[in-house]
Amino acid sequence: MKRLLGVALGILTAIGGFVDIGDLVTNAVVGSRFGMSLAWVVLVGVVGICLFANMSGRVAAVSGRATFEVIRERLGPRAGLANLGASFLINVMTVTAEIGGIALALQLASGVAYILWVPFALLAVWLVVWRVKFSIMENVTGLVGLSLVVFAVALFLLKPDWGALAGQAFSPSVPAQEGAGVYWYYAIALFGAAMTPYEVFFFSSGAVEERWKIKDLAQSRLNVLLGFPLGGLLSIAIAGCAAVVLLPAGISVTSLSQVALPVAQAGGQLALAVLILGVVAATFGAALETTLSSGYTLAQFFGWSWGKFRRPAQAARFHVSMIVVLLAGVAVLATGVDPILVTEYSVVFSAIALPLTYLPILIVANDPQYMGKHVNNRAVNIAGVIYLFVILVASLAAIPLMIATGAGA
Amino acid sequence: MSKSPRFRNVVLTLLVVVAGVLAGCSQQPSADALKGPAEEVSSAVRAASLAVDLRISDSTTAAAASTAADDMLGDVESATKEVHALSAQTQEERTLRNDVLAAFSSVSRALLHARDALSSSSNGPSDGQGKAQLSTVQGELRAATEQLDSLMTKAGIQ
Repeated sequence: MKRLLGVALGILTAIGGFVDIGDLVTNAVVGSRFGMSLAWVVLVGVVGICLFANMSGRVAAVSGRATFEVIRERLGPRAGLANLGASFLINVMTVTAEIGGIALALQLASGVAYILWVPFALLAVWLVVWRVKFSIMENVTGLVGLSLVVFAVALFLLKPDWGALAGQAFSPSVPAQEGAGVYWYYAIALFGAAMTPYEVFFFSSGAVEERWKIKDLAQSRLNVLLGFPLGGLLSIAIAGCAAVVLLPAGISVTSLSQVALPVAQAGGQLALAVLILGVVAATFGAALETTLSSGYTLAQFFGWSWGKFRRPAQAARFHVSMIVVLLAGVAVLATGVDPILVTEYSVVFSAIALPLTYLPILIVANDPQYMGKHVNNRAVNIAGVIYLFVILVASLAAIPLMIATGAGA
Repeated sequence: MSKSPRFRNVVLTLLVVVAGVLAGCSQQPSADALKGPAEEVSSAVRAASLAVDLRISDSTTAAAASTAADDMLGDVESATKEVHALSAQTQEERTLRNDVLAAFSSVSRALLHARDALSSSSNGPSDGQGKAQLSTVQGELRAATEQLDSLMTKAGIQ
């Protein structure tokens, strides 16, 4: 019974923890401009993140070490540095976007300007990273983040023409008022949002924090293979709400307040309150994950003592680096830059950096020195190589498309 | 190794050329250059209108609706800056740009009124005076939308 509860909790937190500010904004933008015609990208992204999260979880459980640590050792400092450089910069951008997301959600609840909420968000994130146990932190934010199921409920309450939505999703096409370049630019952004690098680093370092062993692999696989796809369905529901209410009204999403409009229309103030709770939990959880991921990657590269399972005094550099990352994120927000704009750029830059994150994971997961008999099987390797090709194409196309479309304008 | 400086020069030259082309593309207030800002403002005023509708039906809170109006005001400000940056060379272009800016200004005014009305509607739309005020700003938003729509149609922007 206890084991069953553990599995259920793992799946629920994986669902609740799947959506972050990048998924929220990008799916709403895409739904309001392209309807459901980019839903296939969410599917491709979810399969990809399942594949690589599962791989990095297995590396951590079998070797007892986090993926990044193994990459640094196995591929050498130069490859490790390329990996660190790419993922760390994306992490800092994502931390900035998530803290901005918390502040924007609190503005939606209170009407007080988001910039005034930023210091509180920073303090709260730091306090939790400093004081709260890893498992409590992960489970609470994941479970409260489940409030975002309100998007799926709202979609049902809006009574959409399901046939039309399915038609857009299953026979995707570029809407007449949008160019093909913009369509593909947002396809890459959505792919980057689903496959954000911090998720795999957090997942594998979390496995070490929670002391996973080989016997825990089945549970971790269940969490990933059920939790992430259900989280993906939430992403599709966000796009669906925007497609049903905002697209026909000629509203293109540029702010979080617009994302809330369809939910309020469907379920009134109660639904709005649940939505705000869910957004705060999702962005807060993701801010914790990205802050920790920044600390993990730096500490694992430089060989510092790391982990929340150690007292802060025993992992001082790990904790200081996270404080610096948080302050850097807040400094960026203090310039007055729009957090939604930071979010939009962070998901595209994630897509650009994806090969540097996922190629080393594939290499390490095939190394019998670390993995013994748990190396990737043939089917996983074929899927991995196909995904690396897709990731490479997305990465190479991202910047030219960004320039050509004026960042999807 | 010896190719690397040459490669860097080629890349830099290409980037400079692309930046130059992109910078030179949107200098005149043609219908194409105005399309982006006009659509942004059109979307903003419609979003604010939806927020006011939801507030009138008590489906949203004063804080969420006024935040939406405030965000939309920011979008209109940035679109206005974009249009101001376009340099008109002919009389026709000047007239079109001025008409668009006038329409943006009407939208901006309507959004300001909407934000103020929504912020002060915290007692709920059941309060008669608050409801009347929201209906008035809703009318203003719709009038601004119509003005912008007809201008966009006339200029061939949509």
